[in-house]
Parts: sequence; C-alpha cells; structure tokens
Amino acid sequence: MNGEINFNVNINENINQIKGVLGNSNDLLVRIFDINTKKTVIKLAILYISGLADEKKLDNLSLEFNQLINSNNYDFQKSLDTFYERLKASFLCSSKAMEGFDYETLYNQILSGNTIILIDGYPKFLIFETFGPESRSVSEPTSQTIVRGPKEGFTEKISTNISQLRRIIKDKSMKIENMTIGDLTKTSVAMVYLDQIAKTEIVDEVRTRLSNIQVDGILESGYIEEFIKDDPYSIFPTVLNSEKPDSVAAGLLEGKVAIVVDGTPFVLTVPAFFTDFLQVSEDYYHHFIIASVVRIIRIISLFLSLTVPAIYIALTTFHHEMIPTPLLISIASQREGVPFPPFFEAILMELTFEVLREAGIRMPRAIGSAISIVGALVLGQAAVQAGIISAVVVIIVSLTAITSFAIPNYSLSNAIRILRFIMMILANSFGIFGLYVGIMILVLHLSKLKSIGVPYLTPYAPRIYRENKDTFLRYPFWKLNNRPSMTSKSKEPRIKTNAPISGDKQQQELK
Amino acid sequence: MDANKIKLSDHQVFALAANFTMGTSIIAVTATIADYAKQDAWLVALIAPFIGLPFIWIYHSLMKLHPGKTLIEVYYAVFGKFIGWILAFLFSVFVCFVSTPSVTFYIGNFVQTQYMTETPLYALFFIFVICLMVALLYGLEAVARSAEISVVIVSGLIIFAMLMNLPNIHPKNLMPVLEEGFTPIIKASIQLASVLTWPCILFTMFYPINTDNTNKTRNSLFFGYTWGTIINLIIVTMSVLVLGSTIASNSQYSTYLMAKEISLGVINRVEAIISFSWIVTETVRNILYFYAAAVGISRLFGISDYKKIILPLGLVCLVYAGVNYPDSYYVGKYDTIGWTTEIGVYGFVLPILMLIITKIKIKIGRL
Amino acid sequence: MKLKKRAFIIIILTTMLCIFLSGCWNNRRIDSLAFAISMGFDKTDKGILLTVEVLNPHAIASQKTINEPTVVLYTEEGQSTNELVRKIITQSSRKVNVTHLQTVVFGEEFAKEGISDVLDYLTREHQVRTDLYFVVARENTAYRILNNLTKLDTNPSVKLSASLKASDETWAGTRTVKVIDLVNSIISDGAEPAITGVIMTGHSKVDDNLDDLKEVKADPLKIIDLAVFKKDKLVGWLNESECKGYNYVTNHVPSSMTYVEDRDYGIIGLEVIGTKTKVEASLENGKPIITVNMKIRVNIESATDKIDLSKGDNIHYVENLAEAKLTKNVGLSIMKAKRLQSDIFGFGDVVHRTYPKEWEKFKDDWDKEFAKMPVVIKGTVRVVKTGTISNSYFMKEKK
Repeated sequence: MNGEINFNVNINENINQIKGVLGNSNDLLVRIFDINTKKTVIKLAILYISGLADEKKLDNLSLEFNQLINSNNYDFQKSLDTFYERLKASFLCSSKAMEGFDYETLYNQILSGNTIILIDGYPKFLIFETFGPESRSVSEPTSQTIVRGPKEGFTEKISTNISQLRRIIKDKSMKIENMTIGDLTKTSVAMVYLDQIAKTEIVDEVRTRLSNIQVDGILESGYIEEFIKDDPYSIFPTVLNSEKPDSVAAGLLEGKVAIVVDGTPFVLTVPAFFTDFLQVSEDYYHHFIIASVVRIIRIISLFLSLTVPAIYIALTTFHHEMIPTPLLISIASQREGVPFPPFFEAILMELTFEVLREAGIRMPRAIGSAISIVGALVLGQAAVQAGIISAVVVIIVSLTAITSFAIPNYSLSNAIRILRFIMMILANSFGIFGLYVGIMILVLHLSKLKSIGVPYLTPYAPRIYRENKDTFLRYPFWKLNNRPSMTSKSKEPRIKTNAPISGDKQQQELK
Repeated sequence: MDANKIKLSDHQVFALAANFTMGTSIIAVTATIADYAKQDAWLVALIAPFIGLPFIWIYHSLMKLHPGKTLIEVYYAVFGKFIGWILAFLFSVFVCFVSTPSVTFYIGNFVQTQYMTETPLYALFFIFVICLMVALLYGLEAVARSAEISVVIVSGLIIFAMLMNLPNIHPKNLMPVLEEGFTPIIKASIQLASVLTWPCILFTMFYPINTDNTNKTRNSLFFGYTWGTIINLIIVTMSVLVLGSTIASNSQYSTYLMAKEISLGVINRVEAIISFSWIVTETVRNILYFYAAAVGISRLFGISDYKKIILPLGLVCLVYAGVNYPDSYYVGKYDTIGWTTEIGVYGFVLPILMLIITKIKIKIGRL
Repeated sequence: MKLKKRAFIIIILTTMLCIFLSGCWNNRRIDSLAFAISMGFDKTDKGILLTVEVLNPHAIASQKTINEPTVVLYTEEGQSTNELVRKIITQSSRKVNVTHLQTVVFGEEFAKEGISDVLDYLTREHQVRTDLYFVVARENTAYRILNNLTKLDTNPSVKLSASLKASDETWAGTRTVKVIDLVNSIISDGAEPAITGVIMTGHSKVDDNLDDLKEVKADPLKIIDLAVFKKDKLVGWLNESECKGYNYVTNHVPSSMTYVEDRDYGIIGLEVIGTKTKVEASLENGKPIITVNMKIRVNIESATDKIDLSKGDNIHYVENLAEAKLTKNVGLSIMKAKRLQSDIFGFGDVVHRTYPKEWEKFKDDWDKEFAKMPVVIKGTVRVVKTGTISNSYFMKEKK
C-alpha cells in the first residue's frame, strides 16, 4: 500500500500532491478554513469533486461545520488526537463519518464522490459519504408497461433501488451483500436475498461467481449476466432482468437472488426459469381466470411467432395437401405473377421487418412518422401490387411481428427472432419434417439449459407435482400454498388459508 | 464416468418408458397384428401388457441383484469375462447399434413414401442423425426432460385425433370375435412382444446407475410401459374400427391412413398430428437405442466417456441406414422372422437364464 | 477443444451445403402444379380414357370477370392409370397434382368391366386422399359428364362434390360412397358395393360455351339412381324409390322428405327425422333368414284440409300409410337386388357375424343363397310432431 507510511502531515503539501495526482482538474474543489481554539489555530481542508458530491449533503455538512466553528467549546490542553476524536464524534448528521490513513483510500473515496477532511498535522483524515450525483428521478419504467400495478421503476442509483426493495419487503431476513466489481469502474453491486427462504447453495454459488469476475469495467447488468450465465453460448436468457421493483420483490419472496448494479435500472434475478419470461406482474393483480387466459394467449403467441413463417414455407412448397382447397386456390392465384419462391419472399419480408424494427428503435424522434410511412409501403399493399411478394406473405409477416411483441420479456423475444430464421431454413430444406426436427432440437436444447444449477424448464420437466399451479394457468392465491421447491428451502406454506375469505361466519368456523 | 452423475427422477423414467413403448406402436405395428389376427387385433393389443409386465419385473429383479451395474457388467458377472464380453458385444452391436439405423430408416422411409417421393433417403437420414447426435451430446438428462414434455403432448394429440375420428367408426368391423380361435392371437402377440416388450431390456442400460433403483422405479417402469400399451390399444382398435381389418393389414401406415379420414367441419387434413407424434416418440426411442449402443461400446472397450465416440458412431449409422434394408420385401421378412428371434434371445431367453444363474450363484455364495 | 471446434465447423459446412442443395428434389412451386379436382375413367379400344379436370386458379380467384374457363379438361388414352396421369404433362404446362381430388367418375361401360384396378391406383398413390366421392355416369361417359359447365358455381366439380355431400345428408334417394367403404365392400364376401349414379339432363350439346349458358337453363347434372355392382363390375341400377329402400335398410337416412297418398285425405307430406334399423339373422333348417326391423320417426310437414290431425285415429292412419309405403319400397329394392344377384345390403356380413361357423358353408356361393333367402321386413312409423300448426288453416270447422 503506497503512501501508507508516507502520509504527509503538512496540509499544504498534501493538497498539492493530491491535486497533482488527480490531474489538476477543475472539478476538484478544495476549501481551507481555520478553527480558532483558545490556544491555536487548526487548519482544516475539505476536498471533494464537485460533480459527484451531492449538493444537499454538502450544505448539511457545511451547516454543521459552521456550528462547530462557532461553538467555541474546544479546550485544547489536550492534543490533536482528542480534537480529532471529538470532531469525528460530533458529526451526527446523516452522512456517515469514516476515517482513513493512506493515499489509496483517499483517492478511491474522492473519486467515489465522498468528501475528505484533512487536518493539518494529523496523519488520519475523515471521510464523509456525500455521493449523490445528478441522476434521474423515479419514473415509470419504459421497457415494461402495465395497466394495473405500481408504476415506479428502478433508477440508476443503487441506493435508491435498494431502498425501493426495502420498502416492499420489511423483514429482517432480507440480506444485502455489497461488493465492488470492475477494476476501473469500481461499480457497486449488491446481492439481495431473503435468508430464510433462498437456498444456501444457490446464494453461495452466486456469491462465488460474482466475486470471480475480473474485468476492467462493468457498465451495465448485461455484462454481469454474461459472466455468470451457466451456458454462455445459448441465446436463451437464463437470467431475468426487470425494471420494476414489484417483480423483483416477487422473485425474492420465492427464494431468488437479486443482483442490483449501480448505473443501470435493470436488476437481475437468478435463477430464472422459462416460465418466468412469460409472466408479467400484472397477472397477479387481475382475476385468476383472466390471467390464465392471457397466459395461454402468450404461450400460443410464442409458438406462433416461432413457427408461422416456417409453416407457410413448408405448406406451400412441399405439402399442398394440407391446405384446404379454397385457400389453396386463392394462394395459387396470388402467386401467379410472383417471381420468387415462397422461401425467398418470406426471408425478404422478415429481414425487411427486422431492419424496420431496428431503425425504429434507433432513429431520432423527429423523423418517426417518415419511418412509419415507408414501412407501410414496403410491407404493404404497394409491394404486393408491384408484384414482388404475394399478399399472403404480408399477413404472415404481420402476424409474426404482432405475436413476437406479445412476449413480455425482450430477451426471450430476441432469442425467438433468431430461431425463426433457422426454422424457416429448415422448413425450406426438409419440409414440415425439418420443422419437426427443429422443434425437437429446440426442446432438447431448452432441457439442457440450467440456471445456476437449476434446470431451466422447471417445473415442466423435471416435473414436480403440485408446482404447476403457476405456470400455464394461474390458480387463485389461496391455492398457491407452497413456494417453488427448486429455489426455496423453506417448507412452510406461504399462504395459510385454504379458501377465499368470506364474510360468512359459518365458513370461517369450518376453517 | 460421466453417465454416473445424472440422476433421473421417477417421472422421467415413466416418460422415457412411455415414449419408448409408444414409438413403434403408433404406426407400424397395426399392420403386422391385423395381418395375423384380422379383426381380433384389439384383443392382441389388450393382452400385450399382461404378457409384458412379467418380463419387466424379471429385468428389474435381475438388476436389483446386481446393484450399480448396467447390463454389460451383469453379463460379465454372470457368464464370466470371456463369454460375457462376447455376449455383451453381440448385444450392444447387434441389438442396440443395429436398431439405430433401422429406426432411422423407418422414419426416413415414412417421410419419403408419404410426402417427398423424390428426395433421396440420405438427405432425410442426415437431419435425423444430426438430431440424434445433438441429443446425446446434451446428455441423458436433457433427453429425459424432453421426454417428459413430449409424453404429455403426444398423448394429448393422439387422444384428440382418435376422438375426432369417432364419427367414422363401424363397430361391425370388430365382429365376429375370436372367429379363428386363439392361435392367431398368440402368434400375433409374439410378434407384438418383439416390438413392444422385449426391447425394454434396453432400460437396463440406463436406469440402474442413473436412478435410485427402488421399487418406485419399478412402478414407474410399469406405468410407463402400461401407458404405452394403452395408447397402442386405442390406436389398434380405432384402426380396425375405421378401416376394417383387410385394409389395416395391407396398408403400410394404417394410423396415418385413418387420420386422413378425420373430417369434422373445419378440422380436416390434420394427419400432420399423427406424423408429428410418431416422429417425436420414434426419435426418443432411437435416442435410447443410440445411447445404449454408445454406453455399451464405450464400456466394452474401456473408453471412459461415451460422448467421445458419438461422432464416429453417428456417421456409421448415417451410412448404414441406407444399406440396412435393401428393399421392402427384406423389411417384411426381417421384421417378422429375423428381429423376433434376435430380440427373443436377448430379451426373453437370456434374462431368465441370467436370473436363474444369479440366484444359484447367490445361493452357492460365489457372486 | 480443438476437436470440438473442428467438428463444429464441419457440421456447419455440411449443413450449409444441405440447406442450399437439398429440398430441391421435392420443391414444388404452387404455380407449377395443376390441381386436379376430378377424374373420369372411360373404356376405349386402347384401354382407359382418362379425363382430368384441372383448376384454373387465376380465373376463379380473380375479382374481375375474365373470359377464361375456371376449369380445364385434359384427356389421355392408354393402359395404366399412373402413366396416363403423368402423361398429361405433354398437354399442360404443369404437372398434375391429385392431392385435392374430390370426385371420381366412372363411365357406365367402364364400370361394367371392373373398377378394382383403378381403385388400386387410387389407394396406393400417396397423394390421393380418402375423402373422394365416387359416381357412375348412367348411360353416359365420364368424359361428357365432366365436360360440362354450370352456372351455379364457378367450379363444377366442387359443385358436384358439394351436392353429393349435401344430398347424402338430406335426401334418402341418393347414397354416397367413399373409398374405404367401397374397398371394404368389394373385398367382403358378404356385401357388394353400390355407387351413386349421375345423369345429364338438359341439352345434349357438349360445347362449353359461356354465351350458350348465359340463358337460364336447367342444371345439366343430376344425382339420381344407384349403380349396383357385383364385386367390382356393374350389373344393374336401382331407381329412386328402390334407392330409398336401400338407404332405409342400411340405416343411412339422417333426414329426408317423403309423402303418403290417400284417396280421401289427399297427399300428406312427411319429414323423416330419425331412423333406426336393425338387421338380424336367424337360422331355420340350416338356411339363413334375415329380419329387417325399422323404426322411423316422422313429422308431418304438409297436410290437406281434408284431414283432422287432432284426432289420434287419423294420426295412426297416416302412420299405417307410411309403413305400407316404406315396406313396399324396401321390398322393391330387395327384390331388385335379388334379381341382380348382388347382396348390396350386407346381409351376408350379418350372417357372418352371428353364425361364423355356418357362414363357411354359404360364403362361396352367397349370391345364389342371397337370391333365394327369405327376408322379413317390419317397419314402424311414428308421427312425433305436426309442425307449427295442428290443423290446416284451410280446413273448415265441422260443427
């Protein structure tokens, strides 16, 4: 540890050295002032970086200092040591006070936005947490919109995110472990879990993996996701990310571990299962029958979004007997003037749609309407009339697009996008049997995936009886008695009544 | 060894057994049974589980007497190193490893006959063999989990298809019952057993080391096998009811023909349901054959990890599938006479012999 | 690791080769196929005359009126059906695809020679499906039947199969047959097939001229009569009332309309809403006797003002009249079948099922046995409802 022994007690030299190392930039602010005691004048210096330190906290700090300076109750028969101790103890404001004695800590703390107080002639210094740069206020999450439910999303500050989680789960078993990952970015990462419920093996495994990450910088939780994934070559997401506190809290209550990363509002949850990507927090706030029907619609959309273009290609190229006769007549008449085979049409349209989608996300807002007009032309009637594609393909592509948006989680939807092309290629080469083989290999691949050692397709396979109540359909709350056994170790039921509460006295007596 | 680390749950054993049994029975079995037993084919399918359950019980008790060993090691233990090695070699090559290209040929032949008459068989074999190799590279637990999912879906689809076919049945196709007595039924049940029951000796290659071999495992095997035979019964009965015994015995793929008859308003031309179910279950069956062959051969030659030899075995299968059955006359002859005898030896005679010898050896104390 | 990477690359390369090369064998563009909707078989000196009616999708689906016919006819002559089907490519620019075949028409002369060869092609070819309807052209050739344009539907063959299907369900005077039943009845020793007949009414000109048919004319094709076969050869015809009898005996009347006539009461229309027929076999002196037991339920659909329907006796009278008519029709049909020595009712199968041992004696000579066998017919008719009104409005109250 460099500088441990050589900490300069002369305050001016210290300040010059610090300024020199940190590059003499304008945002390193130094305030020097004196405290007058009866005998001597003690010089104090406050250093902070103006962009990183929070204004309000600095104000509080300076108020307290004013009080100190004007209090005049320092009698200094004693030494600097006592002064230092009393100084440290007298700060009761909200900023925490720590102490340090070497340069490494000093640089780290200043660069993390904290304020340093140097005392002339004393080898230790005080550190106050004033980290609070400008950041976005709590607002509605933009990537996951819901109709009913809380509309607060996470922000980029890790302290706000953890406080939001604490607001939902107010139990002492919620443990938060902080760590710093990234040699240059020193991003704070926190692991949150419920001690009583989460399985110890899973928690330990996550902790080991996180602590083994050695990298220059962590900019977003996506970096961490790729490092800790079980099967990094698979395009399927095995780590759930969410921008909403209630989704993460629901995961915590089932025994999952949340990883909060500073600088991004997307919080990771591990272990994640395939069913988690098809569920939305809103399912639990609506009536269970409606929620079940909507879930089934989502699963059908998933299947359709993967296979519809492939089925179209297979049926019109190889298996004409599977199309009912009137539809066949109309398809045949539409294809009369079209030069390309169905495979080429479908691939062309799908690629065009992907380009449109990407353009739609990246373009500046000002030219938004232009894109929609051009898109409608390319993917619509104009192309049909120009004779490039047939009308059926437009419908197929639109159906695929709509169903792919019905998948709630964007990562899963991305995976399906890529797979759709592979299915189309297989369908073109081997007809509907290529599609069958493709689906079989897909199911095999999904069965192989694991998320922190827990199989991905739990609870479909390996089938755990009585735990399928929350997968395809959502059973009413009073039936969801037990927590999923793969992620939680607690065997106590989470719901202690067996039937909905009614005002009927007789029914209450029976319970 | 790698294969030791995987633990299968009871439901997974059930699913593997059910898929294995449903595999061939969906399409190709009806023709052979209807050929022998005419309209009593459903009786044959009804008796089949009762014939099969004792055999599975025999396999299970044999495996329980040799805990922690697969069939290969049991051969060594019972017959000694030399004869045991020869028998194990014959078993894993001529039963397991030859069945893989056989089944691949069936699938490819079906696709070629029904849909794509001009595609050469090798192109179709190619994707199926790739599917097999990928499945084995992923390991047995991935296969077991996919089998769990597929059992539900396939059973649902088949029952749905059979229900949709109910308006087309002619109950008089089943009568008169037992017109020619019991002899044709017995001949047909031997034929059926060679396809449904005796290949279950394959289970002994994986379940002793991959599960806790308790009575619950045996029950799952029973349930899986019984469920497969129930589906078989439904299919055979419906085939005879809808098509009549002559058509059912002469058509190569009678379930598929029956599915072409489904026509309820909008729901017609849905025989893709049957072909999907059949391809899925037949692929699981093929994967299990291939797995048994890979594990067997790797244990015989002292290779520690069966995953290393999958690629060469797969390539051999790919080539052999086109060579195995030169023409359809050969297919008929081999399936009725050749295969029945072969699997009869390995699935009927040898296990009983081994069980008796093991019990004698335990009594003498030389085990 | 290196091996894994190499194997991966090899697999990717071979897959890419496969993708871009394979599938081209069976790759069919829809507009390179001609979908055949119906086929007709006739006898000529050279063997078989095959007529194939092929769709022209452009004309059907187009929104503007096009002066093209919606179907195109191709004919070929030769010996073997499958060769003929393929040979049509010499005339048409597209290959004939029989997956959407809906009707198969046999010319009368052709049917007399035997249809089982053609049936073998139709069942063995993988493209042909099992929901075809068979018809026999009465006193006509299949070529002329198919060479016909109608105005009611743009697609005449679809019209034919649609009217076959509809008439099967609602009119007892016709009966349709699909391939599995047909094959089963040909193979079986105790039953014979019977196929729907079709005749051409209206003008006998065979020009398919659109202008000619722009005048409203009667529909040229009509489904009527039943062709009786012995094994696979045509031997005779049943007319409409005999066909009705046949349908009642084989329990194939989902609904129908009929009437009874009486001197005093005039013509009373009846709607048949349900039939239940039981055919039973019994042995007497070693010879079989068949009992046909029919229970019919009817509604009264039209009545005259001469009958008072509120009285039970009148209803019974109507029922008796209906029973007499039913028995007469059934008797006529059985007698005609006996004259043709063809057991189209499946009585042989009933004997087979009830007395399998005795059947062995009869089965080789069943046609002659059938011709001599006594059949007992019992019919019961029950009037369930009288429609929405009880007595005719026009009936004068007899005070």
